[in-house]
Amino acid sequence: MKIRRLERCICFLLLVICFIGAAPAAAQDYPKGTIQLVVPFGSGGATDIFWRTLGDHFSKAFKTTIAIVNKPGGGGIVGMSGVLNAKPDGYTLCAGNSDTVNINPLFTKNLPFDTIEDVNYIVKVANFPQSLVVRTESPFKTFEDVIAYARANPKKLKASTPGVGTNPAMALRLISYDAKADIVPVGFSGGGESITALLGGHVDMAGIALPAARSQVQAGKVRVLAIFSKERHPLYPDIPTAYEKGYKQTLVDTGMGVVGPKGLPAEVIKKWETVVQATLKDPAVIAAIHKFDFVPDYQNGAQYKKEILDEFNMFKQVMAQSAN
Amino acid sequence: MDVFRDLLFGFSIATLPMNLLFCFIGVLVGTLIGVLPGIGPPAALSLLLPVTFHVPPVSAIILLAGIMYGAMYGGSTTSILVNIPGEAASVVTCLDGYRMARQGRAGAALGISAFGSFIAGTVSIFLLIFLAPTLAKFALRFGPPEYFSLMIMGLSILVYLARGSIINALIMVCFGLMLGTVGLDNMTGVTRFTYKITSLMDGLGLVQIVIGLFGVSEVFLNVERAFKQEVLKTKIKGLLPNREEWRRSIFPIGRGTIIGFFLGVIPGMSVVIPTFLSYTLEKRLSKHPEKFGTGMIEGVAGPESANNAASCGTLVPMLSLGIPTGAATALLLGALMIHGLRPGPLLMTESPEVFWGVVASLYVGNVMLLILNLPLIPLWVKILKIPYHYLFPLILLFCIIGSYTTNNNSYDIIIMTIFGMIGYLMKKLDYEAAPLVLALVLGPIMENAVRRSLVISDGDVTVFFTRPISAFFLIAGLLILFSPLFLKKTRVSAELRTGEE
Repeated sequence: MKIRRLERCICFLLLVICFIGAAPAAAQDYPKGTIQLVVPFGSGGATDIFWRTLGDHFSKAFKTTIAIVNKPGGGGIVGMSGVLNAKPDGYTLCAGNSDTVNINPLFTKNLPFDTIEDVNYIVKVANFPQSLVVRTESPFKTFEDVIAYARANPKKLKASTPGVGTNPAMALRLISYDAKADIVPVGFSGGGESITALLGGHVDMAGIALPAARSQVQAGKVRVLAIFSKERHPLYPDIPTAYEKGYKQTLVDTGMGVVGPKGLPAEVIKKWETVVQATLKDPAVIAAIHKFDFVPDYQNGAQYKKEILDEFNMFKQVMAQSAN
Repeated sequence: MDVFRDLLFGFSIATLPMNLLFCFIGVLVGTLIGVLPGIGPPAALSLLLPVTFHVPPVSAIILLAGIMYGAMYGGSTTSILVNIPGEAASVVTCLDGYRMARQGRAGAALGISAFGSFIAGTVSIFLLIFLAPTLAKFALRFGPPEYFSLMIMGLSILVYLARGSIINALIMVCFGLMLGTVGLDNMTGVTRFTYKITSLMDGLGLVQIVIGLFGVSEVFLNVERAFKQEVLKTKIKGLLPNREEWRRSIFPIGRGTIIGFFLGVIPGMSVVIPTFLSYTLEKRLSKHPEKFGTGMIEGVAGPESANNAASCGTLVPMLSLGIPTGAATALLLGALMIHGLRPGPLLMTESPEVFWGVVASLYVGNVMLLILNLPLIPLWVKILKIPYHYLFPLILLFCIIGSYTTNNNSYDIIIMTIFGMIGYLMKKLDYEAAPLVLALVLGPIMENAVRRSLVISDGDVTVFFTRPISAFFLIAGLLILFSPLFLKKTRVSAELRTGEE
């Protein structure tokens, strides 16, 4: 008797699970149900917090819930690969960071998918700038100081990075390549460790995302020498770019956008483009993005893909030449 | 004194009805996620983060911080009751806590960990207030060489951690170190031992291994035994620690607090390591080291205080320097930024209401946690009366949920199951899991630290000996490692001899 009751319980539970699992799927008048946005990084990182903030605004614009799900691993590859294998109905999408798709393949062999061909680039939302910072006590006052010293003393300067395969680490490679200045990168695990090593004076400088360095900049502990965007940051017009100093290839921003599996209905992509474009005009949204020191940067699917591809080719060339 | 005036000001903010409510929600959620194996504080923090967008920053941070230290209270519960650590920081609690529960002293073990956590939390808050700026500066002096030496010292404590054979413990340490090498190498980007499995790129998850080795293997082992419920036979004697147990616990709690707090201050130090150190220290100081692992209350009181003090210590670099010490504090920093505050050295002067309000709320939260946890003890103990044929499937279910939810990845369930089987074999063959877990935590930090050190020093090995803090840890490590040889006539060697028989 007891066993049969247990069996019945299990059957009931299975039934419940089936109902929870069944998601609404429709092509027209998208979206009809909850959109699952996989953030392929751990909770608490800049990317996670960014999407949780924007998710609120997008939810309002889409008139549906955008559920953020963290699926970390392999610098974004694990979460993204799960999404690419999902049903292409627009209800399972992934938050894409540019380094996941344009730097990862250069370091990691045997990726489960082709980051250019197998990914459906839907819309780009924002950029966040990467920077080179030193301690306030450092003798280096400008970006040129560092370059001049590094040229005269190859491999003497050590720079902490959040780890190989990240944008700041790529930025350092680009400097070495573009300015012929040999700076040794020291890979740490994440931006927090990297800036801590700089504050403790264990390295000479740090390549780091600007938002991760900001509070130390404001406290007067570190100085930003340059950022690696094409244009100056709207919030910090005093910080020069490496680009304007003549290092035309030292360009690396972390682009943030939404990607999905191949074969998405055109309506889905159109809807996302329209919504993102409109949302990014809302002053409240711009203010929210600026709080992270990010810069809103709307690009439609085609432009977004081209940008990723261009960067990828650029990085590939640098990697190939700096290898020898 | 200024500090007391500031602190009173903090209390005036922390005791506002709204902040009391947020503090309560925080510690309640924290206790719950602490009890559930797998779901750690970072996941809960990021889920609740959007909720805090619409409340004042002080309330938001009070809520989020509550989750963080609340989890340390809850983590011990499942360790003691069913031998599954709710958090990695409660692994050592399993060693003696679970044995105590088997002897009908589950209530005492739960009680002492609640009181220990409370005392540790309270003392740490005062340490935080008075020492934060000085300590934070000291923590910055920890560069890669210091981390390496500290990890070496951490590994050397294994001679005291081993319950039985030292050789077996060494084998487990090697196994743990090897497991720690799996995944993407941070320095070169090479994937190691991943066998083209994408989910292994970030390495084997600590949570899955811990749940497998402790929880799943325990279920396997019990299923094999005859269906006799030991707990029902031994009457549950008293729900709170008695006078004798208090006397034995008070010094371990004090020492655990000190170890936990000061190690917690060092960025990148996991909360796990202080608990191991505390356990080892208690075993070393005890008059009956041979009884550790059979249900010694000291082995519960020390580590449980240490993990709570450590979670308070991690707030030091975050509040006074604006540096995250781990995923949970990184999230708190993010929350501060979203609310337009400037985390870091300026926080205390620019937004005193946030700084002191949060500090005072830590105290309020600790009182709440004690009040919340003590009445729960009789309830928890009743779990042990659930017949095994209902309890085991439930435990397995929670193990699976816990493994899955850390990364929302079904691969992790497979990893957990594999380590459940490995854990079963280990228990059969008398190999202990604790040294393995210690090595797994220390290994990756140690490897990265030694390589970073050598890159920075241009390959010069003397960097480990010429820097004073680093040299200190290395010497301390050597002394600990060889102390059993020098102290031949002491209890320690007696214990080692019995272990090797």
